[in-house]
Amino acid sequence: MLKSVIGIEFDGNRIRAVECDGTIQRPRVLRAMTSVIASDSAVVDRESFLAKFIKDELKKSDIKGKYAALGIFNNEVHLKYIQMPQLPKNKFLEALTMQSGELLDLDIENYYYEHRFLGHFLENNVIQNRHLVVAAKSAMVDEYISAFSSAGINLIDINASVFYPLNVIPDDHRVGSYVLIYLGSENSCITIIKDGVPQYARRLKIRKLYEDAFSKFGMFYSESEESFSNEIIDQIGELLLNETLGTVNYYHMYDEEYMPTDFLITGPGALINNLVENIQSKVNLPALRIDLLAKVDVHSKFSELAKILEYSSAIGAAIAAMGVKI
Amino acid sequence: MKKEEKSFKQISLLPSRLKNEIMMLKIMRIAVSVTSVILIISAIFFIVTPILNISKNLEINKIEMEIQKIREQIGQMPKVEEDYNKFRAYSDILTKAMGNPPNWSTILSILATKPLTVFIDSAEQVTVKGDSVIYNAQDALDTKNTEVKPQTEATPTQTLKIKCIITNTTEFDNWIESISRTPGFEGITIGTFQGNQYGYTTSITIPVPKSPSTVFSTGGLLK
Repeated sequence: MLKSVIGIEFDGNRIRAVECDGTIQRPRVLRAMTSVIASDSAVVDRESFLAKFIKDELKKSDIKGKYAALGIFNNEVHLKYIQMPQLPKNKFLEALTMQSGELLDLDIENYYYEHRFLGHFLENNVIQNRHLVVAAKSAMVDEYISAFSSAGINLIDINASVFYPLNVIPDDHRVGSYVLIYLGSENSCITIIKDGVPQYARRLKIRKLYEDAFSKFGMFYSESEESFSNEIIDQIGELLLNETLGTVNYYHMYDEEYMPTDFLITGPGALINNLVENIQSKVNLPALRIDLLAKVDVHSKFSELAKILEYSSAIGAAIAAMGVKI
Repeated sequence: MKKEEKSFKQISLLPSRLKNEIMMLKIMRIAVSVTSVILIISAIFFIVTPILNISKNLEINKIEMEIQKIREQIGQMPKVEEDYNKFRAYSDILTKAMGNPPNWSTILSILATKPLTVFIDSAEQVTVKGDSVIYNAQDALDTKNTEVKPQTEATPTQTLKIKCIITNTTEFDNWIESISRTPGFEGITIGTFQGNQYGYTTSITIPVPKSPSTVFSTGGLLK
């Protein structure tokens, strides 16, 4: 069993990391850190720069674990849903590789990817299978792996960071359907979860909304603070409503019985005042921040208890690392 | 549902080479764990168990020593038996040689009480009747056979026949009467009187008491 593991989330130019020990059923957050990677166009060797940055920042925060899981959700990470006629596994993979351009709108040979079967439906007397494909650009993943390796960290799991919060979902949501909204600093996602499995996910263009708000209202963007005007919050709520309705309508084509019962909101954006209440009033369904403390213990050294929602993805990644059980 | 959930959690974007490395690492760790368990069990078996069983071993040693002692004793047993058999054989020879000698001291003490008017001419012989063995010292000494023959235990009827010359019959009668009152001599008999120039001759037959055995009793030695 690993002594302690690290969960790391790359959210745009931000890096969040937590060090956890305990058990996979009851992890304990020992330490956490958030840092912003300075974007310096003069940097030539980005890999070495990243390695030094990671090493220094982890050392500064006294994070000593050697094994880590990494969550990434940038423009080089894709969540794709495809439907294909029922095929044997090898034929399916062959078709996926051959037709990745049409099916996924990307060249799969340049990506590391995995897929999961979600279900099937009948269309024109042909059984159609639905699959979730998660893909990340291999050059980017290799760069991260090398950088972490140079920093003395072994990556034992990599996933889309918006899926890692699934590991901290309360037990009463293990069955049934709900909407998970992950509001990151730069990358956000809405995912419909049914019986613990993501059925449909869409990247939210909140970053653009932030930028628009900045240009429109001249406001300084800073998540987790109270600098958002009610007008922006209202716009975000409206956006989430539209995304939710669009997602539900899309999914409703495949599963007529589906109807989410509530919204679970997490990520640093969940700390924005009045946002959750706004979402609830717009979607007319219960909306809750994920109660992380019901799922994890927090060491007394962890000083940012009020902001623990910011680390939901990193904590989920740490739990995933525990699950690798090296 | 749980199966699907578990499958989803297993999604990983790690390159295959790293997945394989992790798998190898897991296998190595399992191998190391199994080896460690085997080594620990071996250590317990080869080191701890003997220490724990030291008292048992001492007990076993003690029992083994006792067994050895008993074995040595058993080893000596044939010699004892041999000695016993020899002793018994010699004892039988001695018994046979001695036969059933008369208790001369008793006889002589009785004869010593005879009056002066009674003379002993001869003691003819010692006769044994019935199942008893006739005492013959020469025969006993000549016997080389060491085999133990069963001894008859019938009532001894060994007698001593003594010829007497009597000059005074009254004193003779008194003497005989006193002898007959002596325990063991109740069966004394008197033969016919014959007159001659000195008085009378007659014979008395007295039961002969046996001498106490001088042979060691061996009964029950090897029972």
